[in-house]
Order: sequence, then C-alpha cells, then structure tokens
Amino acid sequence: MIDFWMHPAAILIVGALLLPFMQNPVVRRPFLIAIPVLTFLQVMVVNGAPGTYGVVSWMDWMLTFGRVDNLSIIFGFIMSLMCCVGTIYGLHVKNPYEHMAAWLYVAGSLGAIYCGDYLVLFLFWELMAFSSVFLVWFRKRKESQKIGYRYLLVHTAGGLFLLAGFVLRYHATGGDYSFGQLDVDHPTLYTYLIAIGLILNAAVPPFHSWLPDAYGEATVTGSVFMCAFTTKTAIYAMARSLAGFDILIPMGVIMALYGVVYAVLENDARRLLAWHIISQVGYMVTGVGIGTALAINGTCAHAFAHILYKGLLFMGTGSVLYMTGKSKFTELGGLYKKMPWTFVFTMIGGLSISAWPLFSGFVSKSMIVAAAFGDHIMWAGFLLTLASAGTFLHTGLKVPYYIWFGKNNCSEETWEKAQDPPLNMMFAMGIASFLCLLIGVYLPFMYDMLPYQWAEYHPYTAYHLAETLQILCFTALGFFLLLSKLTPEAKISIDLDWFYRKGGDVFMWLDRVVFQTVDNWVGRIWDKVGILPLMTISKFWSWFDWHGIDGVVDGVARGVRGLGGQVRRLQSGQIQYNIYFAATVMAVAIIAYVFA
Amino acid sequence: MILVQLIDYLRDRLKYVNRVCYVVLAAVAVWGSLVAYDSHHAHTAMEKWPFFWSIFGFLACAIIIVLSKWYGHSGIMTREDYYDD
Amino acid sequence: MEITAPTIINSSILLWALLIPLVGALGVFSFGKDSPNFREGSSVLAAIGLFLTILSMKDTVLAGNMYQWQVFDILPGLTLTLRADAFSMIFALIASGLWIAAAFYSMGYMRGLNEHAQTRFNTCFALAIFGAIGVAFSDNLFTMYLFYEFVSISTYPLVAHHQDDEAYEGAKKYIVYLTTTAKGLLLPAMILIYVLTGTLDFPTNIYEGMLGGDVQSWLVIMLFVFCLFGFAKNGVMPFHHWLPGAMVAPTPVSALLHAVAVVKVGVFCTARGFLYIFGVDLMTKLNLGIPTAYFVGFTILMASAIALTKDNLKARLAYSTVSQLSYIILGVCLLTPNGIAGGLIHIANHAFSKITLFFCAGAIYVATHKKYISEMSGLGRTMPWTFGAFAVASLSMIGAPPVAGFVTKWKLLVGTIESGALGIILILLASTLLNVGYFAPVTYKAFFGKRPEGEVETGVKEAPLSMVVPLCAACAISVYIGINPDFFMDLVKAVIG
Repeated sequence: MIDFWMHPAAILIVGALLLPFMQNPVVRRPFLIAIPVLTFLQVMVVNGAPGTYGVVSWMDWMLTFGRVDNLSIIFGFIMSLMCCVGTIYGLHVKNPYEHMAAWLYVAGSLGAIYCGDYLVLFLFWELMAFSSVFLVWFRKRKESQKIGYRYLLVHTAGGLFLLAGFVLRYHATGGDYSFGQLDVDHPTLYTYLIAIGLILNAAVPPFHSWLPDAYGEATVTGSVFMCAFTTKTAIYAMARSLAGFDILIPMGVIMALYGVVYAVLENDARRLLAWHIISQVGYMVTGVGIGTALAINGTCAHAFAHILYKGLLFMGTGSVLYMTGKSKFTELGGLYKKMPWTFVFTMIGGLSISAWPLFSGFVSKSMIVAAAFGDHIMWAGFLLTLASAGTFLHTGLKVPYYIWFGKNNCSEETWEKAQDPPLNMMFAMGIASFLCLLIGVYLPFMYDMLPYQWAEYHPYTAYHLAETLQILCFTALGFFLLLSKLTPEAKISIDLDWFYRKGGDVFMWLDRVVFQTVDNWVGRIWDKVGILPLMTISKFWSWFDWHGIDGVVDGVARGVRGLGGQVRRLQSGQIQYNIYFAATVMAVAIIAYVFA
Repeated sequence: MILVQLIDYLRDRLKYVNRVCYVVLAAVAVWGSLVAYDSHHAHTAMEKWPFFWSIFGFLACAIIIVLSKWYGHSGIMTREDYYDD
Repeated sequence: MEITAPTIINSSILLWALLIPLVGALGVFSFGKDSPNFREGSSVLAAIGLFLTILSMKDTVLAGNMYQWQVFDILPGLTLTLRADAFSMIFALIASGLWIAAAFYSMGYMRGLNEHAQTRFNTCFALAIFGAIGVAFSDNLFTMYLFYEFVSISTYPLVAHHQDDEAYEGAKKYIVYLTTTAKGLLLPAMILIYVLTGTLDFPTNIYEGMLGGDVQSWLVIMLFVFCLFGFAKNGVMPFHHWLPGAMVAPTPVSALLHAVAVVKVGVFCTARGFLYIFGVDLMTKLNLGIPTAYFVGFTILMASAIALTKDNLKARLAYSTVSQLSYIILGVCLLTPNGIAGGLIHIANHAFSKITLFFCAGAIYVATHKKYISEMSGLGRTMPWTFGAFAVASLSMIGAPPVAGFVTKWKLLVGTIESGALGIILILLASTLLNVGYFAPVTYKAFFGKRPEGEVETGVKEAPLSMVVPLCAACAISVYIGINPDFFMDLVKAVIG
C-alpha cells in the first residue's frame, strides 16, 4: 500500500503513552475523551474502505496489520465505541496508568480484529493479556495481586497453546500463517491447539475459571473494559477461524448452562455478572459451532449487543461498589431510595440481556437460537432457550432485587455512603442504555453491519414475541414463588480453578522442598568433591606447561592447587599484580610482533 | 424524586400490583397459545401445545434454581476463606 | 548442502581489536585511584573504540569474507590464530557493545557505593573483555581454550571483590567449577582431537566439522560429552552452581560478565564446538542433537523452577540465566536452520534483556541497599524507570512480542517442529509459563505491593543517571531488536549459510 494507512489502535497506543504527561486537570479530561473518540472516528474511516492495508515485512514474513472486511468492520466498530463509553465512565479516575492499561488493552483488541495473520494476532493477543492484568492489580487489594498473577499465568498458557498451534500449522501447510478459516471438517492437532488457545480466552469450560476470578476483582472501571474485550475478541477470532467446528455446539450449550448454575450460587453481584458473561458467550460459541451465515450473523450481533448491555450492567454494579464499597448481596439491599438512576440503568441492562422485546438482546440472541432450530439442532435450541430463562432470573431479577429491593442488609455506613454516582458515570450509563434501546428498536443500526447481509432475519414476528413473553413472564412468576430458595448465602463456590490453585500449591511445595533441596545438595557435594579432581588435574597437567599453556594460565593452575585456605593469600593483593604484569607482557609481545 | 415515589406507591399497593401481574400472565399465556396454534414459525410440533412456552418458562426457572442449589449444597459451596490458608 | 567458502582476508585488524581492551586495562591501571576520571575515561574510550573497530568489520564479513591472522606457530596444526567470521561477529559485537553501557554503569555503581579497589576492578573488567573478544576471534580450539581460561582467571578477582567470607566462598566455587571442567574435560578432548585429526583449526562452515568420517562413533560421543560439560561456563546442569555462587560479585560484574561475557563465552564455545568441531552433518548422523536437546531441556525447566523459589533478586536472575543459556544450546542441538538460528539469535536477545535485568538489580541496590524481592514491595513507585525497564526486559525473557525474546521463541518453535521432536515444544512452552511465574511477581509486588513496615512513601527517587540511562538504553535495544531483528539476524543467516 502506497497510501498511508493509520491503524486505529495506533491512536490509542500513542494516546496511552502520552497520558502520564497530561496530568494538568485542564488538559486531562478533554484528552481522555478526545483519544477514544478519535479512535472511533478512525475506525469509521477505516471501515469505509475495506481491503488489505498496513503490510509490513518482518524477518522472512509479510505481516498484515490492516484487513478490513465484513467481519472486522462490525467488531472494530463496537470495540472502539465501547472504549469511548468505558473511558467516559472512568473519567473521574485520577491514576493515568489505569487509563493507559485500559487503552492498551483496547488497542490489543483492535489490533487483533484488524490483523491478517497469526503472528500479528499473537502480538496483540499478548498485548491484551499483559495490559488487562493491570486492571486487576489496580484494585490494590491484597487479593488483587494473586488473582492478577493467576490471570496472567492462565492467559500465558492460553497464548502458548495458540502459538504452538500456529507454529504447527505453519510447518504443516508449508509456511501458511494467514489468519483465516481452518479446515474444521478435518481437524488435526494444530486445529485443536488453536481452538484451545481461542476458547480459553472465550472462557469456555473447562478453561473458564479465570473469568469470574478476575472480573469480580478488577477495578470498577477495569471490569467495564474487561467484560467487553477479552471474550468478544476471542469470539471474533473463532468466528474467523473455527466457523462450523461441530464440537463447539455442545461446548457452547454447556457453557451457557454452566454459567447459569454458578450464577445461582453466587453472592457477589459482579461475579454473578461474570458468570453470565460465560453463559452469554456460550450462545456465541454455539453460533460459531453452527457456522451457517445466520449463525455467524447472530454471533456477531450478540457480541455487539452483549458488549453494550454487559458493560452497562458492570457500570451499574460498579457504581454501587464505587459508592458503597460493597458488591455482595449479603451486604446490600433496599437501595432504590438512594440510587434510583443506577437502578434504572442497570434494569435496562438486565432487560437487554434477558432479551425483552424492544431491548437489544431480543434482536440478537434469538438469531442464534433460530439458527440452531433452523439447522435442526433441536436440543441446542431448547437448552439455549432454557438458559435464557436463567439469564432473566439472575440478571433481570436477582441482581436488581437483592441490591435495590429485598432485605436491607446494608450496614449503617454503607447506607450513608449510597447515592447515585458522579455525573460522568451516569452519562456513560445513559449512553449505553440508549444504545441498548436503539439496537432493539431501530434494527438497521446493527443489522446493516452484519457480515452476511443476504441472510435475513426478522425478530419481531408474532410467534417470537409470544414465545419470549411467555418464557419471561413465567420465569418471573417462578422467581417470586421460589424467592425463599434464592436467598444469597455468604459462601464461595468451588470451581475448576480448584485444580490449578491447589496444583500450584503442590508445585510450589515440590519446588521448595524437593527441587531446591536437591539442587543445594548437588552444589554442596561438588564443593567438597570438586576440589579433589581439580588438585589432581592441576598436578597431572603441570607437565603440559611447556606444551603451550602460557604463563598466566599455568601460574594459576598451580596456584589453585593450594586452594585449601591459601586462596585468601592468593587473593589479597597479589593476583591483580600478577595479572597486570602478565597482561603487560602480552601487550608488549603483541605490539612487538605487529611491528616486527 | 418521582421514580422513588412511584416505587413506594406501588410497594404500598403490592396486593393490587400482584393481581395485575396475574392477569397479565394469564393474558400472555392465552395469547401465546393462540399465536402458536397456527404459526409456521414453530420449530416442533409440541410447541403447538397450549401454554407450551409458559410451562417451559416456569419449569426452566424452577429446575435451574432447584438443581443449582442442590448442586451447590452438595459440597460445592464452601466458606469464603477456603483458599486463604 | 552446497556452501560457498568465504574469502579469507589476512588482516592485523584482529590484533588491533584485541589490543584495545588490553590498552584500556593498562590505562585503567596506570591512572589508578589518583585520577578516577581518567581511569574510568580509559575504560569508556576502550569500550567505544573496541565496538567501533568490530562494527567496521561487520559489512565485510557479511559480504562473505573472513578475517584471519596467525600470531604464533607452535607445532604443525597447532597455532595461535585469530579469525572473524559471522559467528565471531555476533558475540564480539554484543560483548563490546554492552561493555560501553557497562562501563558507564559500573562507574555509577562503584562510586555510588564507594567501593574499594576500583582500579583492580576496572582493570580486571577490561581484561575479561579482552578474553571474551579473544574467544570470539579464535580460529582454532587451542586459541579458544587459552582465551577461555584467561576469562576464568581474569574474572576471579572480580567475583572475590568484596574479600569477605561469602565472596571467597563464591569465588572458590567459581574457580573450582570452571577450571576443573576445563582442565579435566576440555584439555583431554583437545589433545584427543589433535591426535585424531592432526589439527585443531575450525572449518569455515557449520556442516562438515573437523572429525571426518573415520573416527569411531563412541569416541565422537565421548568428545561430544566432554565438549558439553567442559565449557562449564554454559551453565548446563549439574555444573551450574558456580553461577549463582558468583552473584556475590558487584552487580556490574554480574551484569556484563555473568549475564553476557562469561556465560556467553561458555555457550559460544559450546556452540562453536558443536557446529565446527563435530558439525551438523556428523551430529545428525550419530543422532546427537535431539537427546542433547532434551538433556539441556531439563536444565531449562529445573533452573526456572528453582528460580521461582529464590527471594534474592540476583539469585533468581542467576537461575534464570542458567535456564536461558540452555535455550541457546537447545537451539543449536535441533540441527535445523531455524533451530540454530533461534539458538544463535538468543545470544544477542538474552544478552540485552538480561543485562537490563541485572542493571536494574544493581540500581535498586545502590538506591536502597535492598537485595530481596520481598523487601522491594512497593518500590516500583519510587523507582518507576528501573522497574519499568525490568518489566519490559522480563517480557523479553518470557518471549512476548514485540520484545526480542519472541524472535527466539518463534525460531526455536519452528526449528523444533522441523526437527520433529515435538516433546521439545512442551519444554519450551512450560518454561515460558515458569518464566512468567518468577518474573511477574517482581513487577507487580514492586508496583502494587505495600511498603514494608516502617517505610514511608517517598516521591520518585532513582539511582544515579549513569546507571538509569544505560539500563534504559539496554532495555530500548531489547525492544528494538525484537521489532527489527535484522541487525543480528543477517549475521546468523551468514553462519547458517
């Protein structure tokens, strides 16, 4: 490409690097708003001209940074839009490095979306992992460090699966590193490795435990970013490379239900939302597995809608956490009097995720379910519908009920502190709420960006409305009838992270007690035993002196013979003179030789 | 503010609110069954049974709550400082 | 494989290059502590001069030439001869280039701590570089052996610098390990090779080797093992203890010598031995590569695992070095073009990143007198540049793009798959995970940890500029050679032919 092509992520990266110098309050806020908005505008510019740009040579390879096509357009759009919303939500955060981490994280996501080959994908994949972990660490609690550490290790492992897959594929295909559809009908080792790398980031069980772990702990702003980018970028990558991979259908369905089950047990509002990310991403994974045009459209649409409503939900519960310092149901309740607007916004998010008519989830989620039924995978269709009842149950009912209504478990201090959050947070929630409604009401806004325009879908049919309303209304009935069973309990639920948490402890024990001890013993033995061969050898080789081992080497060989305690004498003062003179002799000899 | 007042107003008349809700529920169920009866949108024959999705919704909710709680209480839920030692 | 032999240029430039650090050492010694500015000035000048001289040779070597210069002739086939081929250039450029940074840095370090015997220190430092460059420029095994031993001896006073019990203990270990292995394994190997072939001269490519086809395979295998363990500076387990022991030395020594010059002398000699004495063809024929790769793979994993248990920052870095050095040997042992390239390029990548890490450890020590990671909790807020550089260099060790280490990892992975030994992939990946495991806590504790009891948050308070600037420069180069690896990769390609 001769024309200069500006990568949207470049704006964010440059902005992030300049941020620490923008601490003057007059400059800070405009700058914080300007950079994401500029990025968003640049995404619009870039999306206007599909094609391949930004091809750079690196070692033996041509790396593609800018591939703009039907799939990257919609994801680029929503990611940069969410970056604007998230930054506005975090506008009050004074620490420039938290913004920096968030922006680099988004830059990683945008880079992964627009890249055209696996090497660049891996670059941005790692950028996402290494920058997002700071959003956990910035919470600055004692637990934050350990949770971030686990998060980093898990994502590194995921990245390595991906890398191993890329390399195997690179070799097996004779040098193909382009990022495109894999031959999923004839999967080989590398297909599975790449798939594991991708589904780990999409939090598909059994690789999901990092998500509730980290998202429940991230900073208030951090989790708003995290809930949008990591899993959805992974969904993008899967839609691009694994569309139609059958095994993903059962995995996605299990995932959708798994998240629901753990959400029932969860006591922390933000962790509950995290479990519902897993549940909702399950729909998208199923969609990728089905792989038809409608299913991929549905996956993209649902990712699009999900980023906004889940961001909104995290903003709502984040506001509660920000204002009161609490996020557990057993420490909240009855807050509608104190935080009514937060309630309204969260409710809009809850209704969107529950797929109420006129809200965004209604027009996106149903597309995947319809694709499942359309492909005659009835069990998947029914189970996903079942999971959506669970979604409404928790996010639409349980979260609002136990925070804003229900039994008031607030301490006096919590109650005193509770009120609607600062204006910028309210504004960000307002934008997200508006967009959730816009998507649900004005279909072309999102539908016009879907990758396969010819696969038409009409959500507002009488039958679909009737079906959805029946399920939702009777779920609500069930909720109120079984309310007593749902009372939150101050417990945590053991999940598959048990294995690596306990496994890590076992490894560290092994490391400390076995490996290190053995290593120390080997060292000690050699200290004692090694002297003997050295002395023998130096005696034995002394005859070799004349053979050309020059004075310097030889002198010390003889010197070390008396190591047993004479080293000190050898050391204290003389050796440098020995060496100095030896060096002088050598230098003189060389000079004499050169000029002779 | 108005929103809070509205909520308080409704909470004071919870009985009436509940009654309205039951009427809405019944209406939705009946209307849904009528729509499903002659719709080509239904994917399977059983969806044409009366109140199919209503029952589905209610059972889904009940099953999720009961099964999850059973699963949780079978040893999965544990004290909050489980990992701390 | 058809390889064009390089054109040989007889030139005394090799001698002149070697003379520069010697003259530097003389300068340092002559000025002494009475004129410290001139003393350090001669170090810096020698470093710059050496680097420029070597840099001036690079293009000629890349164009397919090889410098050679015979100094002494002892017996037929036994000479003191220097050469500079592409392989020499990789190491010589790194050692001399980083000497510049280290010269500034050690000035800051030694003066910052008011260390004793700075003249001796700087003299030996220059002499060690002389030895390292000599190793790089060796044309035959005999010459290489001499310089190899010279490095051991000239660095001995540096390790024992503090002259206390701990220092003597470390220094004893150092000399025992290095000289025992050299005299016990290398010397017999050298004589054996001389007896078998009548020469010790290295060939000019990595394929044919010196031994020819008629040497019995058990002899070759024995020599091979001698070569692997004889150059104990390469840190292959179980002969690795000298390296953590040598961490008693002042940090500039640990940085330049025990992360770059000395240990790289070890791996350079090992690689030179494997590729030029035995040659790729013979190693492939006798299937020596992959078993050795698995063997050093054990070192990679075990050293990383032990690094995880170390609270002393320098000890952790030392074990990390042990682990990373074996990457280089592993790459060479894969015997495929990408594998060898990955191994050789790691000489450069590891050098720049690890010296950054050690520079950071030294800067922390000068600024706060802290050695243990657990004491550094919260220190990142006081020394953001140092810990920032540390974080970036850690990324390189981990192998995250775009920092230099990724080039290594990618090349090694491709090389592994070319060789068909898929088990090696697991070693490389597990090691990456362990690297994250022991590097990440240093960074996050520094930036997010609570200050230890009784300490208050001070503002930004870094080590002297003469330390912070070199460490940031080394860090920047680590990133640069990740984004644009061609500078060293061209040389690596020339080695592979």
